[in-house]
Amino acid sequence: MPLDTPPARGSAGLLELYTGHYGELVRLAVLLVDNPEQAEEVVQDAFARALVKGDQIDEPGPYIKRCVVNACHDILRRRRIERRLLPKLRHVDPPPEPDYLLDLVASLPPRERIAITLRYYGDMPVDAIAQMMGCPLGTAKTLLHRGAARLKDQLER
Amino acid sequence: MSLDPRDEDALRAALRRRAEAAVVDSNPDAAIQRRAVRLRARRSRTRWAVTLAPVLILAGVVFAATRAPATHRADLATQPSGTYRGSETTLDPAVSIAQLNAPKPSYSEPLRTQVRDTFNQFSDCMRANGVPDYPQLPDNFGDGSVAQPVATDSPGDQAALAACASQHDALTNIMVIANGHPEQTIPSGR
Repeated sequence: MPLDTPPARGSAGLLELYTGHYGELVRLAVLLVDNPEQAEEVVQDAFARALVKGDQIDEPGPYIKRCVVNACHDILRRRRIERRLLPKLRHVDPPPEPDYLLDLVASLPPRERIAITLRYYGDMPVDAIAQMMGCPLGTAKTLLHRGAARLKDQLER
Repeated sequence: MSLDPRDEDALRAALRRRAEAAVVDSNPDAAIQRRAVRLRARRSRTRWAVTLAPVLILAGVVFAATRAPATHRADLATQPSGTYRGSETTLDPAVSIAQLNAPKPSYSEPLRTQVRDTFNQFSDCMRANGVPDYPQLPDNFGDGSVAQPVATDSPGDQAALAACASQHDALTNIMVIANGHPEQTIPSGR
């Protein structure tokens, strides 16, 4: 069952989503935050939030995915500030294996990184990316454009 | 602007590779168990930090207090800061203006205030007794911010010196040292 398909109402539906899509969401979060432990926590928190909201959520799948993306954005933003202010105190887990392209993606500003990841890993259209990131369509286009421009610039060097 | 199609494909492949490489537990309950272990470890670290913080702060305060020179502690303990009580004031003879002017001040603000006030009271007395240009110490005296040599070669009126020193005998022990070498000891008249 795809994540966008509405599951059964209530906690049974969430359990179904959890069993079926936990791994997929953790993989997306790992791509965004580079840390499996943080990725797991982000996804678990998203499900916990959905469980608390209960029937207030019409579409738990997209809601949970959006929670994951937002939480990853928070982590990336915080990490960026920490890297700037506490360069020697913060230990960031190195990626499992160095990859030039992924390192370039990781060096993008948080929102551009998220947009590029959703576009090229999730194969999401721009309007879905905008919805997922909670921003206007134009902003999502700009983020993708800037992210791609940065990547292209780096690749051409 | 979009990426070159080959770069797009390479990027897609790299992202998929990294995502597949991420070890995701097929049993989500095990992931929750692992999180519980991490949370317990974090709480334990927080508990240690909360317990140790006051101890470390206290140790720092004790360390700072024991580093202050003993004579100054005694002075500050027997006399409220900023007050002058005449002959009850006892200053270490080693306390000199040159030391107080050192680039890194090693004396507390109350002590500097005390020395400055004492000297300036003496100076006021001298001025009142016919030595109008007797020097005064500036407000930032002794804070190490600027070298403040004190001119001590003002013409002394022996009668004024004797009169003032008798009123301000706390100055007996203060060596006025300008430019790092002793030039004059303010006489006490005794």
